[in-house]
Amino acid sequence: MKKLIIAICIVLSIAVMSPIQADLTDTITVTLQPNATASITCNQSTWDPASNLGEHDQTSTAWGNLSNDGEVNVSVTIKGSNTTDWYIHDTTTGHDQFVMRFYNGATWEGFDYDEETFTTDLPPTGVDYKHFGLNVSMPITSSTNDNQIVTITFTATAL
Amino acid sequence: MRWRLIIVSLILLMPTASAWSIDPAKWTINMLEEPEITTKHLVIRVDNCHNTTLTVIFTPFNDAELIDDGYTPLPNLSWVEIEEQQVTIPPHTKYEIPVTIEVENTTENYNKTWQFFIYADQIAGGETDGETTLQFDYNLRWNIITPKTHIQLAEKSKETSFPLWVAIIILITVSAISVAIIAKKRIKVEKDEEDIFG
Repeated sequence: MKKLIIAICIVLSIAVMSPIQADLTDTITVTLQPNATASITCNQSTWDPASNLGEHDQTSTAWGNLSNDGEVNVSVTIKGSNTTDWYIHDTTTGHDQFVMRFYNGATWEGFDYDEETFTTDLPPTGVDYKHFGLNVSMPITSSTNDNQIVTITFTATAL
Repeated sequence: MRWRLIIVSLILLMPTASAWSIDPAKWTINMLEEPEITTKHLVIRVDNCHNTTLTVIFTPFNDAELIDDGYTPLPNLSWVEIEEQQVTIPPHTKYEIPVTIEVENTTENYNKTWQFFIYADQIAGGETDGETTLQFDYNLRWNIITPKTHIQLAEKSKETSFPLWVAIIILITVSAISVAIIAKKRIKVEKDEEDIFG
């Protein structure tokens, strides 16, 4: 009878210790399924427009081409920037103010530092290109005779 | 008096084939009902294939114009933690940026299809001549899909422990009966031996 009591105690001890549970936290877990690389590439020749004030210069309409070398379709915007001494504008030149345009396949379209639609859907084939050209209208007057450098940014958004 | 015309150049120095890549640009994130895991570490990979050092800034954002039909903006962008918001990557180098997404486990966050973006902004580098005149930025599009129903953690705890307790009670009962039977047989054997030798 003594052995019976000991055996029951052992079984009960195991039963009491067994329901150990993991700590619960108040958070949802996430998993990701990566499936795509984004990569756009631009090919063009050097363009060095040296124009007089009040004049303009431009490339050919198919001077450069933008391709999608990634794995997802992308839309692309284009934007410019102010230079050290000049302001960019999408329509009007002025004192220390110049205008940039790109050829969108039909017309020369002005752009400034806000994003302007460049192409709405560029497939990731690597062989589809968006051809474009650039045009600059120089300021009417300038407070400096230093060369100015403008930054042009293409932004690709995964579709 | 003759005015001298000032000649000023606007220089665009654009080398050929300027680009860097980022992976993945589009992710679908499925939420699981495993609350014991509190965080998930993810990775964005950047490949700088240029001869110059690349600098990129990462910023999560919502955009009502870019968002796809059927999705709503992520309610709280602070759920997205990008370990390095600005990275500088040497030429011809691949770089990994850890990202953690942690969503609050509340009833209103279930059965949702959210979408948000991460802006990868190239602020320097990527050009072969050292002049940054042509740059490429990317908007990464990430989707988050949460479970259809919300299971309260307390209820979930009861659900998971109930079968365990049933199993334990059965085990105790079976063990006790077995021990009792064995003990009874043993007592009977001892009694028989006492009768034989007694």
